[in-house]
Amino acid sequence: MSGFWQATMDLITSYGSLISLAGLAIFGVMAVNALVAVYFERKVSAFMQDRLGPMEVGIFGFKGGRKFWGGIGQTLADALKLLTKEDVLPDKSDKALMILSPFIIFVGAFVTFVGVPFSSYLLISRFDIGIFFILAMSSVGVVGIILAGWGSNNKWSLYGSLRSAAQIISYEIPAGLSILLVVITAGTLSIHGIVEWQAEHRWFIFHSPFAFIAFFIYFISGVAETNRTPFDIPEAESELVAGWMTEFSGFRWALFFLSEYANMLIISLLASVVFLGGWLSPMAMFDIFPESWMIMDGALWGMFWLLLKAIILIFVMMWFRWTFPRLRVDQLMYLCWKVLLPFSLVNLVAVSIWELLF
Amino acid sequence: MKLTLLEKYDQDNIIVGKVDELINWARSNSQWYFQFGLACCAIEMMAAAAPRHDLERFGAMPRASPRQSDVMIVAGTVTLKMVERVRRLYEQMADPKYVISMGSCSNSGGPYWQHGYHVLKGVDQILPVDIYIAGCPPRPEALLQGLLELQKKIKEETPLRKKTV
Amino acid sequence: MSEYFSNIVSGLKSFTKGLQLTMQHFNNRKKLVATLQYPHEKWPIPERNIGFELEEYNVIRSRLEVDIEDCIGCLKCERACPVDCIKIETIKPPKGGDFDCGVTTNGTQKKMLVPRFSIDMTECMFCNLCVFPCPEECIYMVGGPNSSKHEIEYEFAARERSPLIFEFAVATEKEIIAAGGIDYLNKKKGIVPDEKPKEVKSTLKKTEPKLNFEAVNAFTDRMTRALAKKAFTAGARAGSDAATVATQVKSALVDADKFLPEYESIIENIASSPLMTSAGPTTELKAKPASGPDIKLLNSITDKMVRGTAKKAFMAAKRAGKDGAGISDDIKKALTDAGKLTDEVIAILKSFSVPGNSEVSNESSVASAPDIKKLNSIEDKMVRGLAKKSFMAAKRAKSSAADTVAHILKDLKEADKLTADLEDIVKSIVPDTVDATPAPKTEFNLDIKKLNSIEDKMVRGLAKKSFMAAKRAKNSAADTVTNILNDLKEADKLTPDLEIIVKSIAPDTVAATQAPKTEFNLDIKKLNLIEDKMIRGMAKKAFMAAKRAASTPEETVAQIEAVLKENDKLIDEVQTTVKSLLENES
Repeated sequence: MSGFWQATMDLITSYGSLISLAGLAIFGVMAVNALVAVYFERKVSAFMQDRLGPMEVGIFGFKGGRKFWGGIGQTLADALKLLTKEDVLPDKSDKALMILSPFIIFVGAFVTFVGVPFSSYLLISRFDIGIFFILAMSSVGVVGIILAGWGSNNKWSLYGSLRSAAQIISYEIPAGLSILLVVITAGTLSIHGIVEWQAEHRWFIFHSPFAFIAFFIYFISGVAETNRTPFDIPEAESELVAGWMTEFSGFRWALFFLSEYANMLIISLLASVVFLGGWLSPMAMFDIFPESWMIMDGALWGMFWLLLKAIILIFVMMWFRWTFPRLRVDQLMYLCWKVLLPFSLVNLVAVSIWELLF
Repeated sequence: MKLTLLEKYDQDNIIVGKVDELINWARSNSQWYFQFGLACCAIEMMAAAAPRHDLERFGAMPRASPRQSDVMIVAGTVTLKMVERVRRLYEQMADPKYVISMGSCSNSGGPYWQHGYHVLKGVDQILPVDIYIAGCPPRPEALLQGLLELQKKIKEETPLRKKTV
Repeated sequence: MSEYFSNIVSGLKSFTKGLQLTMQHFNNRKKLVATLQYPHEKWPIPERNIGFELEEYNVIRSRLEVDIEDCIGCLKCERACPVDCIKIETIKPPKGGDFDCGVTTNGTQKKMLVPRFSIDMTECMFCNLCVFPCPEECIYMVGGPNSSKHEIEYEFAARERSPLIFEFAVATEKEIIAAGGIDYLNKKKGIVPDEKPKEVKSTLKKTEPKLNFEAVNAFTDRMTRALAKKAFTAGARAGSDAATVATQVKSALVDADKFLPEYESIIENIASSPLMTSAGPTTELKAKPASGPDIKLLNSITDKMVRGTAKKAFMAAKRAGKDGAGISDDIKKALTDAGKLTDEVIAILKSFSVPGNSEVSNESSVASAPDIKKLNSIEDKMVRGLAKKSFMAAKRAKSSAADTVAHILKDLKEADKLTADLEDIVKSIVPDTVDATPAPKTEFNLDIKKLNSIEDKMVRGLAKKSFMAAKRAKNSAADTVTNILNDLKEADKLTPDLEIIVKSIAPDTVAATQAPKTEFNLDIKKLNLIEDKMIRGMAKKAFMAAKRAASTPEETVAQIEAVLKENDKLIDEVQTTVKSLLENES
């Protein structure tokens, strides 16, 4: 055991500054992502409902516009308010679990970012098993959710957390199978390997009709894993008050919020890396563009393309949320086990055959 | 005599004043209201949140859980049976919390103030009400104006300074 | 199996359809966004028109407003209010006094002073029902069709409840006293010791001098007069001078097609007379009709039709500012036109021309006025009815008291109902016999409230019962006390304590106990400093008990402390607060 601690200490003394830098960078990305995405979401939802959304809150008097895109300071105000709010720990709750659980969920999302790339050079760590790491780490949050529900000592929280666990674990399977299809084809678990395969051949979504379907299966499962509408039965307001978040307030609730939006970003980034060519520009796919245009594949341009794809996917998630009504529990399970799972299995076999034939 | 930092700077001080302003700005502009309707006023509350008036312009969005909401809009008749629940829900809210009493029923018992054997004669008997909005029910604009009045009230607070007893 | 696939296909179809719909709204947001940004722009408020048809039923829920200058204090709105959120108090100035309540914009002579007209908007249910009965249209919901009178106002959220209780009355204390409302003021001060300061708005109104409608009142036609007044008020409020106002009035009349050549002189009159009346001329002006002939004299005309016509003519003449002789001429003319002029009427009208006369006759009739209430002691309904009828007939004929009695007795004899008892009763209505009875009544000033200190409910009931019996029998104080004591003894409930209490009701003892009571000037409000609700309640209870028992200040404090000690609540803080009650004393 002393050997392990010794190794850890060595690591921290030699790479400490690097590690903390990486940590800060990840936290910065998560925080900015939440600030921007929440504002974005409130605006998108408002426009889809013929409203205006936040309009009156600006920063230093600048509201960002009087007709449509106003209220840019809204999420900043929300975040500050949440930080200054009372931190309620109910008397009969399991206080240790209630304090711990938001951090477990947060750490789950935080650690996942270690393997998530923002461009071919801009990433924390280059694993050979990047995809596997991301899939594994994004499931850590479930533990936190169950602890949160249990620790709250509240029936709504418990219902919500168990529903959430059931949902996330179920949807891991079709999501994993859809990604497995890509891994089989590319023959690697490394994110760089997959993107390089796509650079050599074509984007995975255009690999075959089955890969096309696999993308949608993965994306739908991804939405379900982030507990967003129409799959938000764990926090269904009309039945469960606020699900497993019911008893949380202030800062610890803000961590939930942060993690939810971080998870959205992770799912979108992974989907665009695996299926949409990652940091490759759309032009690289076709030969019709002149050679000079290929400059757009550099490090910074790569980040631009990847984030663009991710943002479009995040927008689609919001689009889903403000379009569809919530599914019932049985419908949710039906969709997973009876529709998505058989289709992803068939996909897997079919793509294998496709690879043999072509 | 040793003073704590707060006591030492318990005056109109630039630093504390500015932080006060920042916190007040954040709080007043992010009044998430508790989704809690008791009677017909709740319909007007919904109308205020709906596209025509859009409460969210002021950063007010509905929350279902009292733990995450900042302002309780008592929208409707508080029956004696409901008193206990209203009171408990208020106590479950996290500080700082505010109460808007919306409509005649919650202001004073409204149409039931005289002969209503079953109605609480004004929600201010059980909760510290910050804003009273008259109306039966109030127009959505009146609710919006009440919210603006509440924002003004919050901006007059000094959250960082010691409260005088 | 096919169902499974068709389900998936239909699911995909509805999936895309739903996404299309929301995307359409997102893309066309410039056109579709329905929000009006409230503090910057406001939604237009629809016109109000209540009807029972669907398209007519439309209420704007805005504030109620009262034009208090137009309020005649008829209480119709107060009665119409389903939730009793309107509270009006009125004072009727004494008859013959020189206090004048003013004239409404419709030209109605006000007969009441309204010292209180409050509307509690926190209780109001915005039903608009108070608006319809108002004869002067002075209460209305602001905005909508009334927006010319008052712009719409429906946002008046407040941090406390009190600003939502609107007080519209502007009568000053001086005015109330002038109208003979001194009792009202005392009563009000007794109930509400510190009156809240009135709204700023109302004080503004107070300073506004009254408009001089004298010249405008010369219009005889009702419609024309109303029109002219409206134009006059508008002009005067806008601050124009008399000549401009006169031309405005004229043009308003011409616009309404009501202008007649003979009005030219009135218009000139308006231009020459001052717009506002200062306090002096007002009272002089208003005193005139009060000292003039009384319309009630006409009540002695028996024929209904004739009476109506006469009164109408009377009012018309009075409004035209004529004196007694002029009025009687007018009435005579009106009656001859209608062919109803009889000798009886002429006799009545004669009293008009000599104002002094009418007053004298009035006074004499008042002085010798027999009391109809005495007749209530007649038991038989039929007989009572008969007696009252002939009483009224006699009164109308202005008979003297003795005549009245004779008249009633005659009528009763005719109906064959006269008994010896009845005769006594009828005779008792004569004033000089009346005088004798109230005298002991006023002396009977025993205080039944003293009996409230009896603790046993049963005993208290008994004591009160015999007290009331004694009171009704008009016993003297000493007799009453012995009566009660006897009754209690009979019921076997008399204890020494009780005896003391009962004896305390006698006047001389009352005086003795009341003396310290007046000295009891401790301030219960000091107890409000106690923070704990429970303790405060207890302390106040003890305070009130001590007050009722007329304890001295020291005793009071001791009692409060004892009560608190018993309940184990006497902490230092509270003790100092309770002790502070005494401080004011020194």
